[in-house]
Amino acid sequence: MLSSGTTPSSRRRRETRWRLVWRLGPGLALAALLQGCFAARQTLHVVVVPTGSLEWLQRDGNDRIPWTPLLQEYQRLHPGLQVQVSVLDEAHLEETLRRDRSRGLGPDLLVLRAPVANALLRQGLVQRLDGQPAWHRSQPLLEPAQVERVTSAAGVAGLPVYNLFTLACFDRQAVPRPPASLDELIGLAASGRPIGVAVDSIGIWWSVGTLGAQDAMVPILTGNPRVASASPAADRAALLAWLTWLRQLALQSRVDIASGPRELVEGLASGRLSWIPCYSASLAHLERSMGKRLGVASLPGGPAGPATPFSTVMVMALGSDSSPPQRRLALELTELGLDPLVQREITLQSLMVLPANRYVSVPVASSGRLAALEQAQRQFDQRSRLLSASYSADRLRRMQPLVEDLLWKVMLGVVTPQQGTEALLRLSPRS
Amino acid sequence: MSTFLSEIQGWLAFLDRLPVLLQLLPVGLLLLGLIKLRRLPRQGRWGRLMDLPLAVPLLVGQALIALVLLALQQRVGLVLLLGQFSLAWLLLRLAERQGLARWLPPESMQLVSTRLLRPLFLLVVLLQGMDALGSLQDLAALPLGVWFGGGIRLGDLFSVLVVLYLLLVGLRLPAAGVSLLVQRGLGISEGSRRALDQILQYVIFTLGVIWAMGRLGFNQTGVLAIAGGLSVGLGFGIKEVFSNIVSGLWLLIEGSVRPGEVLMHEGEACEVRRLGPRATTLWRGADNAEVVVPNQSFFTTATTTYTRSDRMRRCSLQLKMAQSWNPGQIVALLEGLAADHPAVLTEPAPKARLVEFGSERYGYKLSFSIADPLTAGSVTADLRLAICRRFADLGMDPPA
Repeated sequence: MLSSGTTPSSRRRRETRWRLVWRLGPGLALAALLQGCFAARQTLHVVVVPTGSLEWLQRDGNDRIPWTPLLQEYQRLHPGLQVQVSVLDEAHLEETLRRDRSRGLGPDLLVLRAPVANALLRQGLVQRLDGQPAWHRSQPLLEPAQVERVTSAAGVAGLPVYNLFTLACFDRQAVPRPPASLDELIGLAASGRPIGVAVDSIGIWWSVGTLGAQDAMVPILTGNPRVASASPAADRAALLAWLTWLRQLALQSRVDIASGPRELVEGLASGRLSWIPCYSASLAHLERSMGKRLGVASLPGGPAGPATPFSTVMVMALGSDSSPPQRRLALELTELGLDPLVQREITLQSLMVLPANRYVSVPVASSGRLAALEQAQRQFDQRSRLLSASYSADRLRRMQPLVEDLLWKVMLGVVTPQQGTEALLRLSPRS
Repeated sequence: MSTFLSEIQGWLAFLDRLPVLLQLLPVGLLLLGLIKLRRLPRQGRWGRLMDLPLAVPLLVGQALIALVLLALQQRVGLVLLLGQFSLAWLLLRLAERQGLARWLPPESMQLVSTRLLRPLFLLVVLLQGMDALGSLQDLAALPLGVWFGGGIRLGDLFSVLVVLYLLLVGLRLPAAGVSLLVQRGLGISEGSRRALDQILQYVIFTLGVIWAMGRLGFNQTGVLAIAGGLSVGLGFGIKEVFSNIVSGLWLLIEGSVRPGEVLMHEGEACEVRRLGPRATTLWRGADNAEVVVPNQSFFTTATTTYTRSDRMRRCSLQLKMAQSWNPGQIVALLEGLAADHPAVLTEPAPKARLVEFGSERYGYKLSFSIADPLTAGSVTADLRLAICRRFADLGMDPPA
């Protein structure tokens, strides 16, 4: 029996092959390294982090829509540069960044919500922006409230680029005129038009301000100090009024209490629901499904004032592993994000965000959707102290399920509004 | 595809980072050094060390590199990842040598190792490496175009190929297990068990292909239309291959040629080892050779089989003895010798006959039955030897 590979000729051939590998191997490895160094100047790694609970919109490339004009402009300025964009879930963000950081493979730039950027900065997973010349040049373009939202004791976590808001989305065929008040909303449900709400930040918290409960909810959710002028008795009364209205709303047979924004959006898109509170990030998805049936308006007001929409400021934060050339490119891209022309394009092409640059005017006269967004921004700036200051994303993440569970119980009648009020007050950091 | 390639090219940008270079360069040099050392003549203690699997010194070296980098307050995540790969490879080799080698015959061990375990290891390393450098989810979502009416994404195509490969190479053991259970439960013959084994593999693989087409979103009408068009071309182009495949399936269903059966091929008794999709592998005991016969030849020519209804084979040998010896005594002697052989069946009993009158010698024929058709040659040789010895003991002339 012949044993393969043991004859002198095959051994010689094998040795020749090895000698060739040994001579060429180091050269090839060096060439790969040089190629890598060359390529490094040509590639920027960007991670986009969709808003938590809206990850399902990823399949539409929804999160990339607002960034497309920015990336296009950047690549026009740097034609040889490649921008690699990947999407990461908020739930796995910290874990992934820690792992990548331990390997030196973290992204050059992150696009994410301001509170998440603040939390990452505290953990050293992103680089602070203040101290960079780009920040000093960009800061005057931002509203002070925007700056406050990305500033914490650890520094400035990122540069705001655009804002997303909670709006009212409705089916034009079923609802010719959107409700302007809470009473009109209940009237709409009573007239047989199915409406949807959910107990999450997008689905119900807009109603907090309509009944004057926002000052009581701020410390519960964010841990920030309560408003000095408010008294515990006023907090209790406002919370009771809010929870009582929620209970009344839930008693309507045509009100659907959904599990989250996805169910609401899909309900409206399928025609099962006629009116929902929606996040502006989902407008592109809804428009694709509903076409011209989609109506967008600001949220209805109540006896205590206009709605308090939820708002997210999306920021660009610097990764912590970039080489000096990569950092320079990332800062250039960050600064370009506030360029007036880019900001205008981001707004007009997406029609679901508002620019962070305060000097960019929004053409509200030509677009009802942009008008609704600007109205939501005004409501937020005037009334939503809930999220206007920098706050701890960790506390919000911890409190959110507790509050949502309590709201469920109140709406389903498991606990009375009075019991719910006392339970909410117990979550406040004062007690 | 160009997006995928540019994504891979973008990973090279990580080499511009000092922490990445500080991790990769020492590990790369260590690997090259170890390979170089293993090619040197082995002498003394170091020579014995080099007898260890490559993964052992590599793992130790990676641990030392990680410690030095930690002492220098540098990143070590990549070194640890590469260390995990080395450890996994070492464990795989250990499992192969200490575990599988004890339970499986060498041939099966070789198949499981080279076609299943090692490719799986490489696949895991590849996926982990890609996940470390980029986002697997994003890579999986890369579009590859529209095939048969379905939008294909890289992840779908990759998962389908992996599943089909696993079905192709990993089905043997489970199918053999199920057919063995069926054999024990229903008492089917060995040949039927092997046939069932083959049919199970074909059926599950076909189901896998149907699942793969569904997973990729192929439009069934489009597939059927293209299959119809292709069948004409295939009919002319590779009709022999298709003919063999169809013959193989038919033979399996009919059961005329099944693994384990013994049949005559070119005058030699052969055992059917494997009924493949295109050809049948026969084992010829005379020279321990494996003969690959296209399935079509069994389908179109007559085949002599010894195992169709039972495995018994009737053999015979002829000899001539001088007229001077009493035929009755010779017949009794031959039948007695045959009956004494342990491989010769008692029922039907061995039978010797006077079959020829010659001018000087009479011709005799001894017929006997054996249970294993493949041992016919060796049993006949044994009997010839026994006849010669007995005749010599009795002072008789040797047979002609």
